[in-house]
Amino acid sequence: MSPLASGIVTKSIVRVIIQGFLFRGEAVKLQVVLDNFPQIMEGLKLTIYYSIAAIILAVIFGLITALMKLSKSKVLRGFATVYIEVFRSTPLLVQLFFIVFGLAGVLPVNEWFGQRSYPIIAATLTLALHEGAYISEIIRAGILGVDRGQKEAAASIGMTELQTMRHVVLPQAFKRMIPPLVNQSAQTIKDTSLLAPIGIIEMVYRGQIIISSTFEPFAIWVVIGILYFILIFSISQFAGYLERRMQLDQR
Amino acid sequence: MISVENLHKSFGELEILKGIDVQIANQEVVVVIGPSGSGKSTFLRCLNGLEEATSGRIEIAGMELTSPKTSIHQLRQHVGMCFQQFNLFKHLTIMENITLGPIKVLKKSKAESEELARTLLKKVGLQEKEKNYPDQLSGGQQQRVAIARALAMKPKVMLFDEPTSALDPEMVGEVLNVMRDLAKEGMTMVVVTHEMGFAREVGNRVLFLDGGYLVEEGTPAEIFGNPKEQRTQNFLEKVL
Repeated sequence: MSPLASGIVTKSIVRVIIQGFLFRGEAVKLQVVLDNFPQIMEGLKLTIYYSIAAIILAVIFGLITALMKLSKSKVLRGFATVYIEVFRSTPLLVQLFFIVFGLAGVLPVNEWFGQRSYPIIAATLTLALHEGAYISEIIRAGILGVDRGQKEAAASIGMTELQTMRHVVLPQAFKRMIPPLVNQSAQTIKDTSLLAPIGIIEMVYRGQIIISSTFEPFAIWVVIGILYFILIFSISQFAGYLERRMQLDQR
Repeated sequence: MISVENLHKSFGELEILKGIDVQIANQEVVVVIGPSGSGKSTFLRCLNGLEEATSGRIEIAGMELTSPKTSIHQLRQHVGMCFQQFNLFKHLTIMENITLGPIKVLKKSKAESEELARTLLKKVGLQEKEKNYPDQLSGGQQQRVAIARALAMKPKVMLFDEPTSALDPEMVGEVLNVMRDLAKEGMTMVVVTHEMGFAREVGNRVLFLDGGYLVEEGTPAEIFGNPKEQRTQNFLEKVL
């Protein structure tokens, strides 16, 4: 971008902020934010709940898939590969629409799980499956990174493959998996915002509801953006901290 | 104790072992020597199934390793192994390294396993290191812990794969001393090594491998004093 163009862009951004906050009366804006803050925080709470549920499930799916992909069975490897590729090569939003609304169109899932709980269960599972596809690759790389000698030593004292995985390989692999896993968790938090378009209440959906009654998109989106930023930035910082610590550990 | 008949091992097209026959008696200390690439490490790794024999028959401590009916995990409980790179479990303390096998494989109690581990650590002269991690120990100390870890399974045979090759020269002695004590106690041992002094002093028998064949075997006095085969003579000229 040329200096002139970037100058214009910068100026217009500054102008928008000034107009938003100063000229149209910042006191009014602040009051709107304050009035609706409890509701936004309620949304944030739901965002965090969905994130935690999705991350825990995603790690479980990822671990199972990684072990399948590393297994000797061609069938298991095949299933794992299909799952990973399908979920990595289609947009999360499409996956959500398909599983929450598409499936509901051909199967009586709403009767099975309840009209109100099905979308929530399905959306959380879809999010977990989506992130799980990425996490399985993180876990697989972590397992492959463990020195072969460690496995041989475990075998030489009579441990089975399962015992070796559980007591020797995974604990060592997990240590190097922590930083990328924390990163993927940050990604998962951001991805929960895609639950809004399918009608599940979390922070973004809350924001849209508030805006529809207050007509203050600028102030509300700024606040929601800041809340996401604080949440995810602190997690990324934590990942960076862990990464530095692991490097120190491994001298 | 160990019986190997016509052992062949190939990696793809490459044949590493071309028919090895060896009988090893109880309490015997057998030292395997030979140039690099002669197949001596592969031979040793076949003895506890870390490498699967392509053909031939291996019997250890009354169990036929090459039979599909034999549980490889069960057999390995009776065959201890020490590696060139020690391969201690990096995420566990010295104590946990030694007790992992007894607790998880032999299903012994933690207290019993720790008591055994302390006895073994004392034996290898490292009783004060039980709370340390492998990274905090010198190579020689790590190898002694590895020996203790293998002994904790109360094996009938101990295999050593170049146990001193990755060590600084001043640490070789401490490991060899532990192995010497073990031999004196009557442990059956198969040792792949470049330490000719150890072979001569501790070995009951020396096997010379070259090009995948067992070229010559005999007492240390015979092999080092009066080697019959030309290839053995050439090798010994280079290393002695």
